[in-house]
Amino acid sequence: MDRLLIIGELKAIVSPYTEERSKLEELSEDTDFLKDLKINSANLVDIVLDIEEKFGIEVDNDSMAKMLTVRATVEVVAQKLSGDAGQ
Amino acid sequence: MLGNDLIDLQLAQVQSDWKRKGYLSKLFNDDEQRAIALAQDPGLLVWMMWSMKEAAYKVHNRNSGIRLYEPLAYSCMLEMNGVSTAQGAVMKGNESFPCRSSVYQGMLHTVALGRGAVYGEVKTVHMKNQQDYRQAFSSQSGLVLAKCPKGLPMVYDPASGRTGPASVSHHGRGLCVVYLQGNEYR
Repeated sequence: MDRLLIIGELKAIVSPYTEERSKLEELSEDTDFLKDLKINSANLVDIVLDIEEKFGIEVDNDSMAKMLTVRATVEVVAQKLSGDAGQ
Repeated sequence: MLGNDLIDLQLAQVQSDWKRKGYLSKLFNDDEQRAIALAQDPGLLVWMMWSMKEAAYKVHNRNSGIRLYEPLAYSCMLEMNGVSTAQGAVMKGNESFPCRSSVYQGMLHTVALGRGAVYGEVKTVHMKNQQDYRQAFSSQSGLVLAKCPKGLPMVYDPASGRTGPASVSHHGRGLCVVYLQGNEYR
């Protein structure tokens, strides 16, 4: 899946968990979930669960550890999707 | 060094569904999940252990500069004192962070300590959540809340010239500043 498509899906996924609407509109790979979108850290796990459901992937703990920015999250999703496709 | 975490239990109830499938197993190890299942008030224990992990993470992050979302790398051991306070420790690898938690006006607050810090030196200032909390903190305590050269919060006492490490946490209705009284970083 194209990175831009993944970012588009991510934007929809994180939307209910942030009140920073202008930061959400400008969401890019550089966006930080906690620093920019002020997402509650207890909701990061909801985002991980939503990502698992949306993309049909399983996010292991080591991958989850990195998922604090859009860039890192896109990398995890892209890698899991390509891994699945290769099986 | 010290770290704190504040959870407005009323808001947590709205913001997070800890009963969601898969939720607890991403945050808590088997022992912790068992303790939650057996607890009189499972929701309170969920947020208590979560705030312990968050407070310990703050200490670890400040000491190491490492920023990772890895709640399962932190394990909680705690003992409840009555229904609304607890003490214990969070382990992260070989490190151990002593923790104390209490519920105050519907707000759950945890303080975790780094090496060398003791609870006798911890000062806690509860405030309502507000934009200009630095000013409110100054008028309440007579101290200045500033940032150290590394960008971490610290308090400065204009009267004595002393400084000490601080930690700020806010959620929902509340904001809490904790700091160590002393004249050096720990």
